[in-house]
Amino acid sequence: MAFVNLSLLAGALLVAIPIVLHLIMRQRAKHIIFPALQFLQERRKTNRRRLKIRHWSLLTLRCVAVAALALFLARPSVGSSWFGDALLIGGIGLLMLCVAVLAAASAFLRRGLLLTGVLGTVAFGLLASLIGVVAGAARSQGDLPIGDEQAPVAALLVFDTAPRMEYRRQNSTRLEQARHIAEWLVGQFPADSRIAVSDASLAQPVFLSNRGGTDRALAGLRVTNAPTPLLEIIFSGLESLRRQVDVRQELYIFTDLAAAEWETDAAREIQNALPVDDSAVSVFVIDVGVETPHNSSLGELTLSAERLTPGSSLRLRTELAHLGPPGERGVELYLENPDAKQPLRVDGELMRPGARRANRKMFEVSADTSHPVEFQASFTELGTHHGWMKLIGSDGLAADDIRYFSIEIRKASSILIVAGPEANGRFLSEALAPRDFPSRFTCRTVTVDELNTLEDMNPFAAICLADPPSLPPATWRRLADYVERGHGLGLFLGRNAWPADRFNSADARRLLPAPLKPIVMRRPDGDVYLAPHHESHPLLSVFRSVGTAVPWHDFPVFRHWLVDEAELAGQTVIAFSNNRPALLERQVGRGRVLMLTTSVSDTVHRQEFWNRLPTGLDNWPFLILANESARYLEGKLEQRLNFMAGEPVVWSRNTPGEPDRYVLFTPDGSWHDQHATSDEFRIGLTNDPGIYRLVSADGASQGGFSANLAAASTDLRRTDQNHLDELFGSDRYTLVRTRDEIVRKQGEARSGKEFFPYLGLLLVVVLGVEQLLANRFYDRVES
Amino acid sequence: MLAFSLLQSIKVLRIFEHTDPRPNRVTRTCDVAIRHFPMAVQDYLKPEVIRQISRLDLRAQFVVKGFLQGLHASPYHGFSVEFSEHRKYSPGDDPKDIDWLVYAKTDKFYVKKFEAETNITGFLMLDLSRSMAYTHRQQLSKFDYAVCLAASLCYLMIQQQDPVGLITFDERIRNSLPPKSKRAQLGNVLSLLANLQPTGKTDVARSIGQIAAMLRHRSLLMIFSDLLTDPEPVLRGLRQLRHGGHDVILFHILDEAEVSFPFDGLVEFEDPETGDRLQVETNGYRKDYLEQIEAYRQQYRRECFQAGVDYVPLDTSMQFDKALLEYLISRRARF
Repeated sequence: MAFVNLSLLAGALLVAIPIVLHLIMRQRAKHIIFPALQFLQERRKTNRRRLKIRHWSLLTLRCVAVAALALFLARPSVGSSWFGDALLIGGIGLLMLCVAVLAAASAFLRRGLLLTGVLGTVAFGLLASLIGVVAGAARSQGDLPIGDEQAPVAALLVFDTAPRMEYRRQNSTRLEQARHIAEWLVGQFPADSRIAVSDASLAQPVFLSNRGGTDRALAGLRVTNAPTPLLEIIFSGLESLRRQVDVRQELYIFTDLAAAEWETDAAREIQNALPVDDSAVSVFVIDVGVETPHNSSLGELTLSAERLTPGSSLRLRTELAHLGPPGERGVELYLENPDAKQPLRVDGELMRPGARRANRKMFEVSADTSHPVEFQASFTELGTHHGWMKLIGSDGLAADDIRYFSIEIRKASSILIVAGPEANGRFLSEALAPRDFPSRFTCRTVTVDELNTLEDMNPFAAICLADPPSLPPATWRRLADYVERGHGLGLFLGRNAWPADRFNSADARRLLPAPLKPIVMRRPDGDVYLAPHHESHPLLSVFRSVGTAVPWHDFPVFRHWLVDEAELAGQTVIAFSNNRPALLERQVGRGRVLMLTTSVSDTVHRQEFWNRLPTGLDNWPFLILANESARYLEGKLEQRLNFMAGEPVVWSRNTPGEPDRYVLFTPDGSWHDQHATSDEFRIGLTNDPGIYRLVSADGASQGGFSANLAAASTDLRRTDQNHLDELFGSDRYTLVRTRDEIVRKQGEARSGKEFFPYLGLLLVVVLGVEQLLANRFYDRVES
Repeated sequence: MLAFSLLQSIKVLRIFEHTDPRPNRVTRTCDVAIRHFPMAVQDYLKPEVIRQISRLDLRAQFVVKGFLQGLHASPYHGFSVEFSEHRKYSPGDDPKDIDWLVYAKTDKFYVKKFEAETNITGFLMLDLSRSMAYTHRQQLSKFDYAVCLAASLCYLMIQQQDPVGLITFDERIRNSLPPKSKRAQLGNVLSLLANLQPTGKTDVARSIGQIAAMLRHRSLLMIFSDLLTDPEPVLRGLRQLRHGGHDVILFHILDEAEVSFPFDGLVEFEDPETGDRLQVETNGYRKDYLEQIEAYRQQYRRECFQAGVDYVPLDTSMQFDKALLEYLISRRARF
């Protein structure tokens, strides 16, 4: 048993006082002459026994009261839950029995209804308490190791370091609040305890006995703009915690109870990680959040397009969400002023381009509402443009008050489409430059004969041959020179390439990624389709975000050419589902050649059309494939310009002749050298939200992108305890908010039982019974 | 010195008897006695006691006749009586008793004293046992209280020319004064009592038996005792007295402490007569003791009623004159 105030237990020695008083009082008898002694003598015998009982019972009650008071102040507890329960049940049972015996004796001896009633009521109350304690003990049966409450523990402290933890209330952020509690908590742990700190950095937690290391870890806690989900951190940390055997294992989760963390599909895995019947790990959820946050936020920004032609209108949309009392909030749109000279490093500081406010809108907001916010802007200057939307004023969380964006304005590229005999070049031209829609391409469709007599191919960014026949050698040579100069050639082969041996002329083979076999694979059942296996090719980067959801099987390929893979001069970009090459590429000089071994020129009216790629229902995959192919050939693939904070950025060098060295300027004002070793380079320094600028080493080329925080990482809406009960099981965890709750719940979980409240109850009962009996026994003489 | 004091007091009383017909005779007597013999008389007739008696005297004027009537209950008054002697007329005497022949001869008023007027002889019987000397916190001990009562009754009887005597007893009869109706009898009684101290052991029953054997004529017996003895023999004695035709008034005098048991804490009690000691925790005994003492009184009340004995329970906290007056009124109402 342990005591909070051990020294006060010495007060139990005061039990001697009533005993001494009893003895002292017995020795001092007044001597009085009294003639009517006979009347006293007659009742002496019967009175003597009764008075003895009274004296002893009162003396006992007073001694018990003094002892109970001393214990009450000393605050004892035992180091085992079940032992504590047993002790408590035994104590209440004994007390109940004594009071019940007194009540029965009072009733039998007819000592008065009041006395019997009070004793009976007290006995009944103690019986009810006993039943309650037994029921509570039965419910909380666990196999916590029995031992000293000061035994070391293994404690894992998990911190939610999402940007929402920067929410400030009463001059303290949630993370600061969590840190303060954690620093105090670490000081409370028994000596030699092993403590690990884990946060969104997801480094494997290391259990340290050295408090200095723990303190440094706590001091180093920072908000992570691209946080790992909290539950993932917990699951990862639990593996390390469970390896700390032969000590009590305790898990402390510092969280603001954000619904974005706790109301996810992954949260359902908690019961697998922390089963209800597994009490080896004590779980404490420390709520450092605010019950009613006051905050306005801008949701994720959507752009109508990331690349526009000059004069096109950009549409920006977001949501203004509000928590707290109603009021008025405004949103402003800022556009950076393009400046080729900036950013500029001056005396170690970064000089950024200026910005102008392009628009402003005001909104009446009320609690738990959201308003759509839309702006429009147009740009004339070519190049990359940056801007942001921002809430007017400030609130508790600044991170969700601003959204950045980047777009590129460029002229439309010209693509030459050469349609073979009876080939329909419109599928390609409509895919690349749809009528009545602004697009990044302009298309000119010519015949093979017109190609043969075309004087200058250079104005065209790329040439696409739709179902070409075998071309004259001079044309092949001119195309080869065209490609070698850095342009692109697309071959979309169909029936006109027959016979293959004639098509595979020596001049053609300068460009073909692989020679054609004289075989056309026929699959009338439609079980062959494009099946890209690896989407790492820049041409397929757009499909990465869709993943396996691209419905290629809805666009069957009935005929395709076979190529001699033994003489492959390039690489396969896309294969068919029968593992035959579908799209191949070849680098020729500074340019590229793409060859599709199936036609994209057949209408459905044509007999034995080769595939449904351009004609299938909802043929957006073909649309993307055609545009990406054209951009790849052009050398400027669809480079994403807007990312999430923390998302790795792949920057492609698509344009032949692009520099391979850049300087990356980050939002925090620092800069970093980036060196491309291939056609692309990866940028990992995107944790901070803001505008990132890429400037080539020679200053000739500028680009950039924007990064924003995920909306969920700043969503302050909270989950409730009922949801946590569903996830953990109501008895599997403890939700605490204050230090006192932590100490009390820690004590119960770690050391079983504290008897402080029960001793207080005992003290009250004993004093009450003593007072009742004393008044009953001794009728004081009125002076 | 004490004898001289008594003698002097007797002289004063006799002088007073002849020269001072004023109604408040006892008061004046006491005043003179106090002035000349402060130590002796003042013990019994303390100022507050005197005040009580004087009040009694003043109030009892209209009661006296009733008292006399009650006490006497004599059917002989007014017929078939023999002339006994003359006595000087006192205000309050019945005018029809005036002897006009004497007046004609002497020009002074005298009344005829008939035998019937002296039919009832009173005896004051005081318990002289040691327990009667007890008081816990009152001004008067039981004996003092009894003396005051006895003196008052003696005064009243003498005022009506009734002979009254005194008998003191403890284990047996110790002292006695033959009944006389002269006014000096009060002084005689007080003088005798002034010399006595309650020191003996108690045997009320035996003393009552002795008295019963002594008395030849029917008398009014006024017994003053605390009755702290076995009740059965006492009750037998009382029945014996009643069987002898005597009229008995039993004044059961207890100390206020013996009635209320006001003690607190651990006390060692000692019986003054037997020397027995008993240590008790008084708070635990109080209830039982009070029950016991009440039962004791109830027993006497019941038995005396059945025997035709007037039972007057008193304690020394009761205002002396009120207690006596209440008793006299109640007795008058019954007759």
